[in-house]
Amino acid sequence: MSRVLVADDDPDIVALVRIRLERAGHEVVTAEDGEAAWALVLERPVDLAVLDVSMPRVDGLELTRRLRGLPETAALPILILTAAVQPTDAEEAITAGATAYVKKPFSPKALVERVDALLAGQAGADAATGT
Amino acid sequence: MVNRNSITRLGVAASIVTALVATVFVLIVLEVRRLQGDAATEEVSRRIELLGLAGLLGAMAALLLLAVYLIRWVIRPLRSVTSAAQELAGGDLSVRVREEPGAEPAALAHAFNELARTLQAEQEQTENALVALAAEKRRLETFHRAGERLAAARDLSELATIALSELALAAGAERGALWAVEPDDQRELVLEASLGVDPALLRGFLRPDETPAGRAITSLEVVAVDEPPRAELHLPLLVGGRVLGLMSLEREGAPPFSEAERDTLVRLAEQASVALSNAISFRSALRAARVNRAVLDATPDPVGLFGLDGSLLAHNAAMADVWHLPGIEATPGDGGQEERGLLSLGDREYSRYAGPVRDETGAQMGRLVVLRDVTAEREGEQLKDEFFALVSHELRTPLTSIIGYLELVRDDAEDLTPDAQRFLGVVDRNAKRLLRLVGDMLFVAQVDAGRLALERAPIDLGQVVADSVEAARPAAERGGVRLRMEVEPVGAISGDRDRIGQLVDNLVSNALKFTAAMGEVVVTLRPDGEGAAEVAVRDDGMGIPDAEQQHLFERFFRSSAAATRAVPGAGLGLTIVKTIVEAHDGGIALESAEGVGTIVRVRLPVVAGVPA
Repeated sequence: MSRVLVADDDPDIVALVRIRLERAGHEVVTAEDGEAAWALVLERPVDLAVLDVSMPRVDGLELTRRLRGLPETAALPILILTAAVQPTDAEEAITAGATAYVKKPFSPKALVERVDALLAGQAGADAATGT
Repeated sequence: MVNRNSITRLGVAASIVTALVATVFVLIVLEVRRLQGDAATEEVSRRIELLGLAGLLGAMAALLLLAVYLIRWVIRPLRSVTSAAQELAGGDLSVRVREEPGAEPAALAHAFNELARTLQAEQEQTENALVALAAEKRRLETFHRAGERLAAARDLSELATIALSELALAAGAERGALWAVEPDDQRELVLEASLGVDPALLRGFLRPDETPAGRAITSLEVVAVDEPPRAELHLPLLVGGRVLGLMSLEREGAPPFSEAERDTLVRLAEQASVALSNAISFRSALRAARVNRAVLDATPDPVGLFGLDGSLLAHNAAMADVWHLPGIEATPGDGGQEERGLLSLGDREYSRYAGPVRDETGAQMGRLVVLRDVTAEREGEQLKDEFFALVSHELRTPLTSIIGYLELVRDDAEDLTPDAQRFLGVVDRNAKRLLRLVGDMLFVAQVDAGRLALERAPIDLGQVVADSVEAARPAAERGGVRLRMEVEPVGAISGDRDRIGQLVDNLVSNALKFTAAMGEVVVTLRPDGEGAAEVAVRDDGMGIPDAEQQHLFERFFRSSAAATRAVPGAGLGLTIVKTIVEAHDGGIALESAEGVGTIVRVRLPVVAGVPA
């Protein structure tokens, strides 16, 4: 059982992802913004982080950069959720240090598959999943 | 001959008198000698005395006769000739001498009279010539002054006033008027000047008609109206046979215009016409220039003509504010090519066009520079981009929840009634349609912004086609349309998996929309034999009218069939297909016949050596 952090400012999305991950057998901690997520990670390490790009206070990209700067989380698998309004959004996520990205809107089932794959060490930024 | 006769007569008379005197004298001498020879007696002496007396008397009588003759026939006529000569010398050439036929100097008198007559005739001729010369001089002076005054006129109406006053002066006319052509409307003449009459009483416009003035401009001839004591003259003002105006002159209490007067006035009118022609051309050019200037100045975009040396030859008001700023003017010596670009001046953004301007001979006069302030458009574009980003994000987030939760619910399908399952299917389908629409809008916005970025990777087209057909199957079943797929192996293509999927989805979805129940849609994939893979989507639907086919790829175009059958769609599908195809260096072709069906073929280049 892995401990997965889900950070998104949309509580519905957070709940949706939490249900799917919990059904897949993961422990889920959630945060509504980057600052809260940062605090959670510092409090207790996680095995994987699912971060929304646009969040209040500290956004997903900024949080990713912070996590990469911390020795404990430098290799943490990070999955970025992006609305991918601009084609460059995905590139930015990878540049910031994300392991992979998933374009919104996403299928929660497919998201769980990506999470499982990343946890199994088969990370690949080029296999992003859209709908 | 008369002269010679009278002289002869005078000579004969003198000879007779001389002979008589001589004879008497000889008789006296002979008688004295004889008496001296004989004895001197008293009688003899008395005879001698008598003889001598008689001889003396005879001589005296002869002398008297001669004197009378001389006075009557010679001296008096001579005197009259002398005094006449004096009068002649005094300037009276009309003086004449009486020619008396019997008088001895009759020839002289006659000669004198001849001389006087000749002199008088010559003087008259000279005087006439002088009068004519003076008249010609006055006329020339009139022309000269008119010319000078006409040349000094600054505009058409001033010129008209001058021309009218000059001709009126020359004609002795108290009243007059001048009409001239309007450069913009050559059908009628417009009143330009009036003299001695209230302009309000005159015709403002003159047309060829039956009035004397109207007839003058029709016939191109001077029309005179004589109604004593009034005399009118209507002079057409012509240049090169073209009517430029008409002048009417009227005088009262004077005789009708003479031929000479008319001649002078016509010549003056010719002079005025030339000046008028110039003034009309000038006014016309001035008006055209004013219109051009007004148009230029009303143009909000800076416009300027730069000479080949880089100097500003002409510009409008908007250019006046910015022309000195760097980067605007054409480079000196620029060639004939056109340039288009963007230019930032301070906080404003301009699009800049520069191109050659040529005169009618084709020689380059300079370069035209037109700037357009696109700051607002740029800001607008940015706002639009931001708006699209916002809308797209804000629509996608709730859609993610809707679709995600639906998926959760449908995972637990066994808890639901069949109706509930069906209803949730409808919600799911529509949510996905909405999602696709948002995707399409975003796609078009990205294309507009020039930011269509492809994430290229080798793609197995067979898989893409299979996925699209599979995704479209529920819709086909709902519409009672048979959906088939014929896939031959093709090489891999290099492309954006999502975009190529979107492309095939759109084609299949279109085909299904326009195919009735019991119809068939076939998707084929095969190599086209020329290094490309061809995806064809064929339907046996209603087809597309020829007239509409050319518009199919236009954004938001909706076919008449789509409108009448209320087929859903925003009219973006084929636009997007074409954009994606072109972004992948492919080609698209459409064939359609009404009532037969439609086939759309898309060719995408295969990447050599990469297995699918």
